[in-house]
Amino acid sequence: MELFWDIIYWLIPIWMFFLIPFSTFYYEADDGMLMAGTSVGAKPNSRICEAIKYEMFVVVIFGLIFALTYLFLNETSIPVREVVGPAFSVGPTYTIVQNTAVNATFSASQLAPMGDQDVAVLTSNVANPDLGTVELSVNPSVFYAGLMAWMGWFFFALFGAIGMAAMPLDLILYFIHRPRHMDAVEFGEAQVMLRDRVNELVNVGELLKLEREEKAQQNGAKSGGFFNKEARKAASEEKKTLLQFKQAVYLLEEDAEDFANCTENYKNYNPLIPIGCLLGGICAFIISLFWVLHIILYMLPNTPVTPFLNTYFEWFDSWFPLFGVLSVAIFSFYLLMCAVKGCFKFGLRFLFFQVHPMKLNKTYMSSFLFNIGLVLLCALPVVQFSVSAFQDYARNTTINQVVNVQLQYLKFFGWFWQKKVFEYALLVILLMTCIYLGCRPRDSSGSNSIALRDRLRSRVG
Amino acid sequence: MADVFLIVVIVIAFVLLTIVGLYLVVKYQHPDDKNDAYIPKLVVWFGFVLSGATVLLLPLDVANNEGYAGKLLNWVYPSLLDQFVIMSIFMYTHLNSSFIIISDIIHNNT
Repeated sequence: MELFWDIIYWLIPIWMFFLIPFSTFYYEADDGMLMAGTSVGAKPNSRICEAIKYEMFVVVIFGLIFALTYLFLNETSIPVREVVGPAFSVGPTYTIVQNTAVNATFSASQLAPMGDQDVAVLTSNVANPDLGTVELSVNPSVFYAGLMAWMGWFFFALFGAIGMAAMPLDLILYFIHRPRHMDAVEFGEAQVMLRDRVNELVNVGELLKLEREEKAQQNGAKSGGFFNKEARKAASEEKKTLLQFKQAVYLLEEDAEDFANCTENYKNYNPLIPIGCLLGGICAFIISLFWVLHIILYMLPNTPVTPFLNTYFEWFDSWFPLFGVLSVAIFSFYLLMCAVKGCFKFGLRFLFFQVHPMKLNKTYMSSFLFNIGLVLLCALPVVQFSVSAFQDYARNTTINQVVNVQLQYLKFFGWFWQKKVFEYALLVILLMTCIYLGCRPRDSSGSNSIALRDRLRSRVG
Repeated sequence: MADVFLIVVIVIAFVLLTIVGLYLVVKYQHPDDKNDAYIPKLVVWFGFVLSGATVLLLPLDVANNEGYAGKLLNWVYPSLLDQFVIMSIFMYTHLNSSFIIISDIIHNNT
C-alpha cells in the first residue's frame, strides 16, 4: 500500500506543476500559422519551444517553493506517552518444567501460572500523565503529499462546501424546471424574450469591441504604465465587464438549449434524464446531510459525540463485506464531484475567474485542463478529509498512519489540521451557501444585460 | 497466497476509470479539437484516472489491511455471492460502456 500511495504522492505534483501547465501553454500557444510569413523572424510551429519557455518559469517557481518548504518545515513532532517499568531483574524467576517425552516441543503449560509477583511488576509501571513528543523528519514524498493537500484545502474548503450545498439543489431544480411542452402563446413569448436577450447581448458585444478599439488607438498615443493607478483600475474594470459578458452569453446559451428542448427537440428529448436527476438529487441530499452531521458529531468535537458513519460502515461490513468499502468509495468520490460542481457554481455567481463549464461536444481542451487541475488539487484534501472522518473505520490503513500521525503534527502545516481550521471553514461556507442559495436558487448573471449595456454606453459615449 | 480477489477489484476499478475518462474526453471535446491536441488530451485522460485512483485508493487501503490485528474484512476467500456480484458489475459496466463508445463512434462517422 505504501508504494501505491507514494506513486500517487509523486504523480499529483508532476501533473499539477508540470504536465497540466505545459499542455495548457502548448494548447494556447499561438502556433503562428495564421500570420505565417507576415512577420520577420517568426518561425511557425514553435509551439513546443514556447510552451517549454513558460513551463520553465512554473517549474523554477514551484521547485523553489518545494525545496525551501522541505528544507525548513519537514519536522513533525508526534505526541507519545512514556511508560517507565521496573528493571528486568525485579521480576519473578520461573523454572520451566522439562518435558520428558521424546522430540517434545515447548508448550505454555510448562510455565508456572502467573501470580502476585507478576501483578506487582505490572502495577509498578508508571505512565507519564503528560504527553511527550518525538521529533522526526518526514520523508519527501509524505511531506509533498502534505504540502499539496494543504494547498488543495483552500480550494476544497471553498468549492467542496459550495458543491455540497449546490449539488442536491441543482439536480432537484433541474427536475422541477424540466422541459415541458409549450402551447403557442408560451412559445411565442419565450421566443421573443430569447430574441431580445440575444439582441441585447449582440449590442453589448459591439460596444465592448468599440471600447477596445478606442483603447487600442489611445494606447498608441500614450502608454499606460503598470504603476498608473487609473490605467490599472480601468483595465480591471474592463476585465470584469468582459467576464460578465461571457457569463451572460453562457446563461443565454443554456436557456436557448432549454428552449430547443421544449420545442423542436422535444420528441428526441430523453424523459428519463429529469427523473434520473431527481433520484440523483435525493441521493446527493442524503449524502450531503450525512456529511454535515458527521462533521458536526464526529470531526469537530475533541471527543467525538458518536462515531456515526464509522459505526454504519462496520455494520454494513458485517452484513455484506463489500458494502462498507463501497460506501467509503461513494462518500469520498462524492466530495470530489462536489468540488467540481462548486467551482462551476462559484464561477457563475461571482466574477473572480473565467467559467470553464463542461458541455457536451463543446468543451475546449483548456477548460478540460483547468477542471482536471482543480480535481487533482482537490483529490488529496478529499483523501485527508475522508481519512480523518473515517478514522475509526479505516484505523489500520497506511494512509491513516500518514495523514493522522505524520502530517497531523507537521511543523506549521500541522497547526491548520490540529485546530481543524479547514473543517470549520468548510462547514461555515456550506451553511452560508445554503442560506444564499435558499434566497436565490436560480443562476442569473450578476446584473442583467440591459444594465450592462447602459453602463457601457455611458462609458463609450 | 496473493489475494486474487483484491487484485481483480483493482484491475476492474482501473479499467472502469480509464474507460470513463476516455469517454468523457471523446464525448465532451469541442469539434475543433477533433483529431488534434493529442498531448493535452492524454494529460486530461491520465489526470482523470489519477484523481479517481487517488480517492479510490482509500477504500482499497481499508480493504487491504489483512495483516493487521483487528481486521475488518475477510477478503481472502470471497464467497460465491461476492464473486458473482463483482463479476456482474464488471460485465455490466464494461459491456455498456463499450457499447456506448462504439455506437458513438459509428454515429459520429455516419
